[in-house]
Amino acid sequence: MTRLIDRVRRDLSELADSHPVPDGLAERAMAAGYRRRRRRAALAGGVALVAAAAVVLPFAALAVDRPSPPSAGAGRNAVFAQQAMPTREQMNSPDTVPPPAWRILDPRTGGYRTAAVGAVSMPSDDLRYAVVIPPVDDAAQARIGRYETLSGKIRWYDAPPPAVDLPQISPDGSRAGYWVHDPGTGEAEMALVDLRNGRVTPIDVPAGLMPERTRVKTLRGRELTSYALLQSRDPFGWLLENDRLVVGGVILDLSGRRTGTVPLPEKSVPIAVRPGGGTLVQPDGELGVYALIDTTGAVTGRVPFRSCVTADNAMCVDDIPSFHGWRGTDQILVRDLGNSSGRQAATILDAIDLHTGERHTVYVKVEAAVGRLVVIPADNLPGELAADISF
Amino acid sequence: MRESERAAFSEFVAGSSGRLFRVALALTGGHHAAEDLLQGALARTFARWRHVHGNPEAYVRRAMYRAQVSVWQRRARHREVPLESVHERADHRDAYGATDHRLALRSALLRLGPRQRAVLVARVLEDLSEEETAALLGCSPGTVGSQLHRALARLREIAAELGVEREHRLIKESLT
Repeated sequence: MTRLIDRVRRDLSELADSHPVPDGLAERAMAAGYRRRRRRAALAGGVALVAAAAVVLPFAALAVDRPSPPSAGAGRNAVFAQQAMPTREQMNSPDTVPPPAWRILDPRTGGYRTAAVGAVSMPSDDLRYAVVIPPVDDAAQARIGRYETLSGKIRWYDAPPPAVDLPQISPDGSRAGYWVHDPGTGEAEMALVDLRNGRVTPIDVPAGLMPERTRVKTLRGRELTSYALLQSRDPFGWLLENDRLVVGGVILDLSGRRTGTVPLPEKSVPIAVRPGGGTLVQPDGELGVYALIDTTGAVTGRVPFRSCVTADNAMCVDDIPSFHGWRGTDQILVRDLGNSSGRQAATILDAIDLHTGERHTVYVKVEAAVGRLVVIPADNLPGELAADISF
Repeated sequence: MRESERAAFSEFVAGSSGRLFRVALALTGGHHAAEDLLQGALARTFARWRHVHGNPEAYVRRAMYRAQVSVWQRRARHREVPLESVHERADHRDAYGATDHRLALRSALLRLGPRQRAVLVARVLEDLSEEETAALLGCSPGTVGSQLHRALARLREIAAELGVEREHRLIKESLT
């Protein structure tokens, strides 16, 4: 045994010394690192446009003729929209993002329809409407759409071009909210669109939530075209409700007037506003920590994400998972971007109890290979459907 | 990413790439696959550079080991393991000498499964303990022990097989 190990050691050493270190490793790694960051930002940005519903409205509005059994979705989730997965060639292409194609749930049948849109919001409480934005390579960018889940039709409204692909719809389905970018001032602001009459209201948002400007390339037909995009660092740190907007710890009415603040620890970064109260934040200076803050400002849950290697040169890494949504009353769904790999990861999430820190893997039910996901609580789905498609 | 961070990353790569490339070569067995493996790990590290505390070399090393045993990331590189290139460099005149035994063993190493080879590299080349290897690969120390045991047993089998096959082939060639 010893002799074999010695021979293996000698052979491994010879193998390890058999080639010189290639040149330009750092430069190539940095270029690839940038691409990885861009892809990650794009994924994290829209993977789960999630904010849980604040008010549970009856599902009868969907005009289903079967009786609505008790909710089978409590503490469970379902996929509302899923982005078609890019091909391996597209994934390997260094400077392109794939053309968009989304499959959106028909809440009457449980099936999915395909729509050529850039991104999809979570739905209104009655699951009838969602906001969609034009594809990034669409010539008519200055518009925003209301998607009808029962028919698959989109009604487009003339509106400022969306700068960040993270629209939201108010729980009653009457308004759309999304980020726009003023090229004159360079500032980001919010646009509210009244979906009943198309009226647009610009909203000044508090400083400090400026989305990050980036430039992406995409294929339009066979041509490679370049577009400027804004990518929010805190994609879920704002919430559009029926009568107010919560952005970065500030509460605004729908005319943009500041009406109050959300009590948050100083310099903490809001990750997601919880409908009905509470905010998930990243505390100041603690990159690998999520904390749940209640409406009084008290910390009611706290989960660290940190992994360490205990080899000789020990070190620790803060794992910053991507928030995907709320799960029941005590848990969040996250995807660990650092440890995930490629296309499998979109269908595997972790459910984490914010009070106990307990973590378990959740396997997402999807039709086929998907990229980005919009995950909703299954509470508003009719019982039979929830039983079929929830996870 | 600020210029200072780019400079720090470049400096880190310049200082550690020799050691890391050795490990990548031992893990993959071929310089193209090793370069891919190392560059992927470096790219991942650079993308998370602001969040890497302590010694980033350990982060890169861990990323390489885990990528090597990960089904998805390994698949793309698997075709590149140059088993045949080892034989191409063999000195056929030295049929019964040390070179053939060494090449047979090296071929056997490359025919091990990625996890078994990773355990061998960590335990034998890098001289890590079972606990350290387990932390690196994300498994239990018991699994490391059993994988090492199986890897050595498998090596014996494969090396013996290769030696016999090669001997038979060379005899056959000398007769024709």
